[in-house]
Amino acid sequence: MQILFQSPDLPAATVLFPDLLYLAQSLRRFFGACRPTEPQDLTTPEENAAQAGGAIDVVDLTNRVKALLTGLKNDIAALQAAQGGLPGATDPVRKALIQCSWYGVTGAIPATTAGPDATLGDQAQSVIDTLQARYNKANAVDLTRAQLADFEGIFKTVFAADFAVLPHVTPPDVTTLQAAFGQSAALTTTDTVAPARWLRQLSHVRPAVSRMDLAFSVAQAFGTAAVYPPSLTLAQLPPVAAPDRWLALPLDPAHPPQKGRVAFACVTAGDPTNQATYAGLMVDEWPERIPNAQAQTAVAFHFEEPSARAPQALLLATCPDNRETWDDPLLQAVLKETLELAKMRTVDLGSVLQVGQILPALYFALNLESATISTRFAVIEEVASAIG
Amino acid sequence: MRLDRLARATVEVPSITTWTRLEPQARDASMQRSLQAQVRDPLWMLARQWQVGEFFGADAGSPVQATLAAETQTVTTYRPGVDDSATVVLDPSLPVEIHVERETAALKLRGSVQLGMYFEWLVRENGIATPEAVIAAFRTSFPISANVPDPNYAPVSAVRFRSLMAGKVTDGEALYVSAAAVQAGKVPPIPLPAEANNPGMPAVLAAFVSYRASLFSEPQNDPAWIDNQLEYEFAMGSPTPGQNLLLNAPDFPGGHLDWYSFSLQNDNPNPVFTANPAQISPVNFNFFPNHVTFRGVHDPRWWVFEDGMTDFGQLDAEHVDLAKLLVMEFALVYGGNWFSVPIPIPISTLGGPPTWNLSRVTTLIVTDTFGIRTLIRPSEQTTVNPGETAWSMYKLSGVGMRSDFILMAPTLGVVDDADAMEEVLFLRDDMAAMAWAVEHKLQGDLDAPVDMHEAYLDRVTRNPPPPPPQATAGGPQIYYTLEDPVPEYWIPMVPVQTAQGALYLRRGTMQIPTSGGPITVTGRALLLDPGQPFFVADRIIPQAGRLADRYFRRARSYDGSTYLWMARSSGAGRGMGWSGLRFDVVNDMKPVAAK
Repeated sequence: MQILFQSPDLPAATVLFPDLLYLAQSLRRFFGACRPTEPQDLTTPEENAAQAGGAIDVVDLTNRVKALLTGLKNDIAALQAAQGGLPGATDPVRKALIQCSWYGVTGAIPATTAGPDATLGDQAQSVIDTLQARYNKANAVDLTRAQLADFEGIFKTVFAADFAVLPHVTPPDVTTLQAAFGQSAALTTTDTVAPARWLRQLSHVRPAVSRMDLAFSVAQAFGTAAVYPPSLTLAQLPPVAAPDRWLALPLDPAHPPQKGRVAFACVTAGDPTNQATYAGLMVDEWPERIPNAQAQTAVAFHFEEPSARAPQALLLATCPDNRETWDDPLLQAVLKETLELAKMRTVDLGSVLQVGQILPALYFALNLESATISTRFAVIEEVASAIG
Repeated sequence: MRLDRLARATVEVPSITTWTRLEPQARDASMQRSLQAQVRDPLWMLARQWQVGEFFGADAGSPVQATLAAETQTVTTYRPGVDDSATVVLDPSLPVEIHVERETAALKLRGSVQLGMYFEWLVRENGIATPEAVIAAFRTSFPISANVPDPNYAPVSAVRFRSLMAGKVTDGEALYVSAAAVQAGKVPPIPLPAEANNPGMPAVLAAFVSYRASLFSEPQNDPAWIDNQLEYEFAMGSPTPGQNLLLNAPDFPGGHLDWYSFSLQNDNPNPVFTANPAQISPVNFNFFPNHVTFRGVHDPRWWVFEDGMTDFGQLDAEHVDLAKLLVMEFALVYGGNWFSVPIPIPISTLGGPPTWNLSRVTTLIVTDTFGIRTLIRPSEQTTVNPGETAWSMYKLSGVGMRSDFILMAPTLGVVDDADAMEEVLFLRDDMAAMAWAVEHKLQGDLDAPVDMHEAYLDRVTRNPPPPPPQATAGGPQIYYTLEDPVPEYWIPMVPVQTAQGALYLRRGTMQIPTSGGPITVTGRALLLDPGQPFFVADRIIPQAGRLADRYFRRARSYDGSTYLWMARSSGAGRGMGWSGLRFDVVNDMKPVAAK
């Protein structure tokens, strides 16, 4: 078999084998950088998708994994069986090797197309070893407890690290999402070219969109079907009562957009307005910010404010001498006394070490023979310790 | 018995009386009750207030009301570059950063393919008769060439992309130039095919031109980039009958624009100024003064838990840390005596274009609890010592000019910047007594950056330098090299002096010997103005070098419009470099290897 990579004799618009490789390479770069769509992607960031009913179809994923592992096991067995027919029967080995090459095993394509080939045995054994190792690793995962990442891991183990598996996703609020997709055309009635322009502009700034744009443009070069520019289906959440406008368009002053809305721009297969579950590749996501129409400034100034403050206690003064009418000197005396008492309040034992033998002058006698009035603190301590 | 009782009654049995002193202990090793902050003792509360001076009277009142009068003055003119005659009326619908930075979005192959495919989509979707025949005619008139223009530096992916697209799509960029010229009544560089007049095609071409024009914000012959400074220069004017205020941005390196990019100056009268005087609008506020609060400021009241996030008391300031000491003193000593009033400034009406305004406070009168009114003067009017100037911040000023204006620049908030499509590092090479413009990245056919070092290594592999001469028996044993070659993406910048003595670095050329013949080294980056003389002021390239790049930027404006523009920026480099350039080198010849 010989691949003619380029020939000057072919017409200019001929699709060459390297062109096909380039398409595959572009698609792989694009897909490899995406991730599967999850329930949280189909609602607003503030809403917890799992609590709102969003889910991944784990049963379907489990069945797909089981089918994958069964197929892999059978293909390994078929290659082993064909290997047993060597060196005579080479064609079954070639057929089994090509079947195994779909798992992305490097060196699985047989080097010959027919007849005897002494290298087939070693080649088959190498492929069997590689696939068996992948099978063993993938088969060790407990599917009953597997999460999305575990299922992805199994597919990536069997195929390659940039293999994408797309689970079926039930959105948190499928009715609202369906209705939102139904508004797609109405969102851009003022500027129908806007989605194509938007995507093209992003292709110069956001690498993920650039990869997608390149993949679509390369695919367009292979035919006349309308592939490029990709047709976008739009949706916005949460829904609004007023006539909605695509958030990528200039603002409608009569209906300014609410904060925190999410806009979806999807390349769809099928009709998203009547689907209960979705599966998709998440290409890119980012917050889009529009500057505020009003800025907050402030003027600061220095003003010498008195440090005096109202007392943090209410003073209930009673008249010391039962006079009928208060006068200023009496009130001042009460305040002065209160302040003096407050100053004294700052004095504690640690502050009077110099006169510690005298102060505080609270002395209590203790005479076990009751020769004098006694105060027994031991009893108080016992009671205090008893009540904790 | 009686005697015994009598004796006991008259002769006391000695007993011991001990004295217990009750000592209150207000302090405890455990902090538990203290932290509970139980308040049961009014005297204790009063004592603490007394201790921190809250009972000291002062001959002042607390501010209870303030009246502020401010005025805003519109900015009305824009001047790209340094030429006053280029002054135009400021277009409020176009954000100033974009107006300053944007340049022609010169796209290569991929841009042509993207646009060409859009054109073909328009032809197919708009009900044009025999669309494939029409498209074929346009592909013939505006073909994508299969020949790689610069095969030495084209990455494999770009070569493959060109090979795939050649003959399969219209060159959209070339078609746009011709179609736009036809629309403008000019002679197109490439004539449109006859199918351009097919029924429906004029509308398709009009939609096509409109689409392409709406993709990028491109300049109208008003560049603000100063080549020999590697920076933008522009100015905005706010002329009033008595003063032509100019907000000058003499060294804007690109990127984020804000008030600090501008310096203030008085400009000469200008007809555009006269025709577009600034509008001055007064604004009055009555407000209740609020304390300025910030993290770490002490609370003026006792018994309030303060925010412990910032502890100015723990700042470790040396005697020479004047700025730190100033901040500490402000926060710890004067922090409680500052008040503020929020002033909302409208940037734009909802969905409308932003307006550029200079704002200043004209009057601020504070009334205290005793009814005393105090006029607060701006900090610029503070009495200072002779020879000193008052200090202020956030106010616009210029050389020899101070003002009390602040500028709330309605600049773009968040801008999505693409990776640099072109990057040139200017660096000094003292070993070679010159400078270099190193083209790190150049725009490739895929309208993505091409790493020039990798391209150079690839070129060396395919087209290596010529082998050195080999010694022969009886022949010369040494050889002379005039200069060692440098990688061809190192563009020489040769020092030159003008008649006035100013030093510049001029882009030069070199020839690199290869097995396939000499390669002429010349600048290819648009930053280096290929095809015409290029100078950079010597002072622009410091010892640290300077990095300049071109990149796409995307942003939403105040009215929600999306802008995409090609911009430049420059900044500090990565230090000095050595090109490996040496002159007058004598090497030993190696003998011919025995076969």
